Amino acid sequence: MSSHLSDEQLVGYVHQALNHVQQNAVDRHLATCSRCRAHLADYRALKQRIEHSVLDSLRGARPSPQMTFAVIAPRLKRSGRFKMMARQSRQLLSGVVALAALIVLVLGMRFILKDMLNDLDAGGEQTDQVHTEPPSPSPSPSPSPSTFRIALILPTGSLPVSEAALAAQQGALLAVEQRNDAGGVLGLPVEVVNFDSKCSAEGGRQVAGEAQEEDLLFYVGGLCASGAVVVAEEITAEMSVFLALNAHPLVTTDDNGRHRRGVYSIAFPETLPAKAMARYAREQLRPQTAAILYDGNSSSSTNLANEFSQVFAGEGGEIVEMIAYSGPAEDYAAYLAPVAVASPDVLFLPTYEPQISDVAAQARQMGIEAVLLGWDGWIHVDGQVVRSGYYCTALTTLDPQVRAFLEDCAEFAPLGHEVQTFLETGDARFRSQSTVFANFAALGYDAIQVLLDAVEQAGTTDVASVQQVLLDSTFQSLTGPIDFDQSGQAYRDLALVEIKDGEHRFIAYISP
Amino acid sequence: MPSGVADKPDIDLLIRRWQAGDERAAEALYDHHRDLVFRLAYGLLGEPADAEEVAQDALAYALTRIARYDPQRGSFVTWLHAITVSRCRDRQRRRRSPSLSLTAWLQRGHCLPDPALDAERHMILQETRSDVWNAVQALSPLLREAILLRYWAGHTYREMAEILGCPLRTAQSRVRLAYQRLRAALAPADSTNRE
Repeated sequence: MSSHLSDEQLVGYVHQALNHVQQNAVDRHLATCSRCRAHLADYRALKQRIEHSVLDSLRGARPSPQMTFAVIAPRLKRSGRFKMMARQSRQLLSGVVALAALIVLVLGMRFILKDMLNDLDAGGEQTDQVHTEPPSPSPSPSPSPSTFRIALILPTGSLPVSEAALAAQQGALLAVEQRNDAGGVLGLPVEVVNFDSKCSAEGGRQVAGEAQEEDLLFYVGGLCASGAVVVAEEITAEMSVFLALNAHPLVTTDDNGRHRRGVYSIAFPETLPAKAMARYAREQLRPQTAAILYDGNSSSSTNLANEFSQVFAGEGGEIVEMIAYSGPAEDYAAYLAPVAVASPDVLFLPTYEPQISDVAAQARQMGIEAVLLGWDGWIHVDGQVVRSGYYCTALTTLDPQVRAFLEDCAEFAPLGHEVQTFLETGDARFRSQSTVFANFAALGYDAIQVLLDAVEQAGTTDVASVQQVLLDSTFQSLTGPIDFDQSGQAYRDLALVEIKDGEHRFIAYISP
Repeated sequence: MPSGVADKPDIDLLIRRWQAGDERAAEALYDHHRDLVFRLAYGLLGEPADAEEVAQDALAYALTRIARYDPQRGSFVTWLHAITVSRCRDRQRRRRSPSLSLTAWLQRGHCLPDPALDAERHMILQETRSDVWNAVQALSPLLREAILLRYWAGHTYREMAEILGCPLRTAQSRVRLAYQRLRAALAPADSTNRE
């Protein structure tokens, strides 16, 4: 030991963070050194000052009057605890009544008492099972070999996708919570390790490396194609499983179009709504002719137009006009004129707002009465403008089960003002935004559920076994069955929405 | 242990009653721990609105999962603080991204209204911003957790290790490091700094 106590020794001593040997040594030194005693007094004074200041600061902090038990009571009710109490009360009451009757009637009928007690025992066991919790009670995020760990890689800190990423994260974490409440996977609690991929290739590479350093084998995430592709490349090099939230083909397939082993996309291919819409139109609406007006500057719009054209013609219909315009315009009359002449039964508009409403309004003014058909981008359109039409999308908050999912999300963590208002009031102004939120939240939710279902079906956390199950099995998403093709791309049913009398109405989920 | 942190004798009874499904016991547990959880969240996050949301969430989480609470593993407050710290960490991760409405992202042009602080709460916020408090808030989240759990909540290092999900020695070293950082931050106005 040097002639005086070190800073480390004094700080440790003041904070009772030394072991016995160290503490005894400091005690012996202090007994003979007035200088170190003086220093110690300074250290203690500062510690006391900090302590008092922290205590004073927090003593004055109070929550608002709105923070009451009543706010969380509905959440507790939905958790089933109150129900459990009611059930137990009923059991108790029935037990008391039965016992009294038993005493009054026949003492010799012991078998009745035995049966009653058996019933009560069985009820009690059932109650316990309902509330069986996963084996690890600790909410601490520290990793443990006794948990099933999933890396959740999302660009939660990158505009403009952070909001979508946070929605996906909320859905994913909700799925994990529900799963843990039901006993986890293969008896193990599920743990999520969050990574921010920063919506870039570099960010994706960095977090993939970090996740691998932590020996993580199961990945969920994406949203930004650049980051997701790199994560997919890194994952493929190792023996892992990655459920991507992207539909970009380069995520699930390499430059040569081969499936990246272990990589699957939970999002359906971009053109699936066009395929579903064309099939539905031919099979149910029975149109003979169709026209397509699309944005030639948009690759998405062009791909959708081509897919619709191909499928509609393949199903026996006739494409009478297929017209591209170049980006948003104020006047679409020149593009619509040939459509008015051809007078098709249906008009497919695979574009975004406000183009859809502008085109629809002008088409109606020009006397085009074709049934208008659309895709995901139509969730925002004003029904009064379109008047009559149909569109396909992944899911819609018009579907009660999607509303129920949103309520689960709201219970799990606070939602944005608009989505929350929609849930509480049904205000149609916030319907489309709520649908967008639900879409991303459902992607995260489904990805986790599908991954855990695959592990459960495989009966092991062995990566190769889980990979095989993902390719071979059909899984249940929030809104219906989901399959992966041999390139790891998900196929699922889509929500069909009708616009009638100016209102959006959910019809059903249809198979593309 | 500082006032307001210690478990009262009837807490165990309230827990057992709530575990049996008594709603009044849940409300009593909530009322007893509400300010405690809020203050820890406020200390960790520094913003009352965020702290309130997180505290509400932590309390709801704890009460809905009361079956998971095992008194053998530690006190109810320790368990509650572990949940609160975990939720605050989640909130801090989320905070790294500025909020933007999904609709705006899809170029529809709405904005989410920012929740405004009312006057009273604004005053509280101002009052608490002493030099020391500012220095505590300037610590890294991990060190801030350590200093608040030790100095404010009075947890033992063993309890801190449980709450923070780290080894006991790590909890000790974080407290020491936080103290050293605070001392450095307060040095210009503080004559107690050692040469």
